[in-house]
Amino acid sequence: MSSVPGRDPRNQLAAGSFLGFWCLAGWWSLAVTPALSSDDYGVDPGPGLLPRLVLTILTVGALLLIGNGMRRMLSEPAEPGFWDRLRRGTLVPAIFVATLAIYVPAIDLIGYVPASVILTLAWMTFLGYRSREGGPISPLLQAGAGTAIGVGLIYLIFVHLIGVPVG
Amino acid sequence: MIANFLSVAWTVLTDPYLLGMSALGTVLGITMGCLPGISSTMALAILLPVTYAMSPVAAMMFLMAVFSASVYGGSISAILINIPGTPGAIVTQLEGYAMTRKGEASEALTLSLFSSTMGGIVGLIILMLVAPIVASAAMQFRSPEFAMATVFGLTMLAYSTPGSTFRGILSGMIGLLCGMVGFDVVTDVARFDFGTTALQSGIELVPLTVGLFGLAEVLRGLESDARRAVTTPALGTLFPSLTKLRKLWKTVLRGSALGAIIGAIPAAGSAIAVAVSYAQEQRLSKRSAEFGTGVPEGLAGPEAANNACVGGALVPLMTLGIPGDTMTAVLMGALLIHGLRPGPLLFAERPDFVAGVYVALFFALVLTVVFGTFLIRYFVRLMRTPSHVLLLIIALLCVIGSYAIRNNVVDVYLMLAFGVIGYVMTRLEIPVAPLAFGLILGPILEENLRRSLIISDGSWLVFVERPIALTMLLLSVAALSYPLLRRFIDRRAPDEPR
Repeated sequence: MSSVPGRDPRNQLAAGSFLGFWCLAGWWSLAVTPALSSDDYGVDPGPGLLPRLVLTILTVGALLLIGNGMRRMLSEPAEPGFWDRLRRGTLVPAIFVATLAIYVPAIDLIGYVPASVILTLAWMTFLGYRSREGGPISPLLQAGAGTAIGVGLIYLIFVHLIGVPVG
Repeated sequence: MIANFLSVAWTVLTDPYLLGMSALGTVLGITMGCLPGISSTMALAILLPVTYAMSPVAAMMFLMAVFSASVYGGSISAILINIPGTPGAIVTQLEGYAMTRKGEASEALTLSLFSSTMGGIVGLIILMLVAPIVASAAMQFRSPEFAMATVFGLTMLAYSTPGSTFRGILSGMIGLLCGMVGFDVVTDVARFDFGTTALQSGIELVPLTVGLFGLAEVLRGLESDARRAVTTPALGTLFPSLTKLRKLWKTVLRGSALGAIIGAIPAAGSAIAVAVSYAQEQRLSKRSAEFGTGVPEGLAGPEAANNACVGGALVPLMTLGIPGDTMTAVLMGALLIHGLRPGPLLFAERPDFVAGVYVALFFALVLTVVFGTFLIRYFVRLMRTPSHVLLLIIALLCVIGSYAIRNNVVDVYLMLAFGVIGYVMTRLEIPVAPLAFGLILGPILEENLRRSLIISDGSWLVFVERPIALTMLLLSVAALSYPLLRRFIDRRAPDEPR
């Protein structure tokens, strides 16, 4: 990615689109909530004032970014490999988020400790083999020790001491 | 205030639980600060849920210790392995790591510890002297002033965030939107709930900060499969030489004063303070040409400035209720969770608690010296922990910590969502910190904005008719206009407003 924001027009386009998504969601929510457009709050400016102000600034900002990005894309030669650089390295984090999303309901189904042990052991082993960190200790052994200490400490502090009611 | 301070200090000294919380926070703060990849903000965010079950004073003892000790911890990795654990330790590595390469690692660590402590104490003294004055002045503030102070705080953070001010402001706007999710407290109208009951109670600060500063960092850490073999040098004696310390007292004092003053400016942050301190020491030193090769003045000054910032950054938080940086933003979240709203009224209504914050910082500094001297070898050993093991443990902490606030699984999904949002924002080079600020400051801004307009019968002139509100408005406009003006002057700058 470009090290200086705004250098690459496609970065502006992507950032503007990201912000535009928030605008669309925000304006849509305002549109379907008539109470936010009502002036019937007496001297109080009402609950719709700040949302409208903020969304207006955000929309103008997003449009500026998108407009700038599109204008520059049409007038400047494209640098190769931008989208590849933007995507690079995102596969493992994406799979990790997906497994966390599965892990949360799994706590209810099989209990906190088993779910946590499966998650950490699997990921620590995979990441250990990937990075080959930790010197002479094998990744599986390292994952076992890391899981036991990590899950054990968290269980002790949050479940045993603080009393968080997890499965 | 002194009487309150002494009274609370005695209570802490005679209460093993409070003292234990401070000690635990100090050990965890140094440990997390020295682990590469864990910033002070991340340490505070993922340890904040641990305080739910504590009393407000115990929570403050614990979190202030994490806050202060992690700042010192960040210097350990900067000195020993040339990786700054916190942004404030960026300058530390210049001289600190050079000293390590010369075989002076123990001396660098000792110097860093004692300079940090002295800086922290000066910062605390300045906090104790300045905060009551600012709080007393802030008692004159009314809704228009508070509304503009909020705008000023948000603008300054966007201005000082690395990257683009323009994008920082837009990130802050997303934060403000997130702060408006749920029922409006005045009219009871649900906003941005998208028809689900899950969002009607609003977005809690903890899932958002844990997601943005915890999980998003984990995801960034998972991107790379690069090996990180950490080798640390052997350490010799860790007791300071009084002769050397005596030679550096002016440097430490200068760094401390600079750090406390710069730290008190909203959003200025420790990175600026240490850079200014380093430049000043280089200018004043007789060995300025040798800077970068392991000159003790170049380490002691910035280290003192770095820790003095802690006290300084607490001034706007405690007196105006406006966090000066992301770390104090998380601390503010902790105060709000415990039903305490920082600001001038806190000084009038809970002077005991304000004294408790000072005492918490004082004990954190003392305990950092104790643990930093006697346990440093163990902290250094922990730095060899493989990064993927840490990342997984942090991810587990993020999940259970966000669940623990309300025992509600919705908060865990919100945390996951904000982790992804934070990660995507970083990939797109949109600053993340203003988003968290927006969430914290949003409700304060809205409450005071609406109240101001009610008082003025709907006239927006209320914000320009009052001198303090007008000053803060003008400062905000100046902070926003400066990058545009600079771009106008410097034609070589990119197309996007910075």
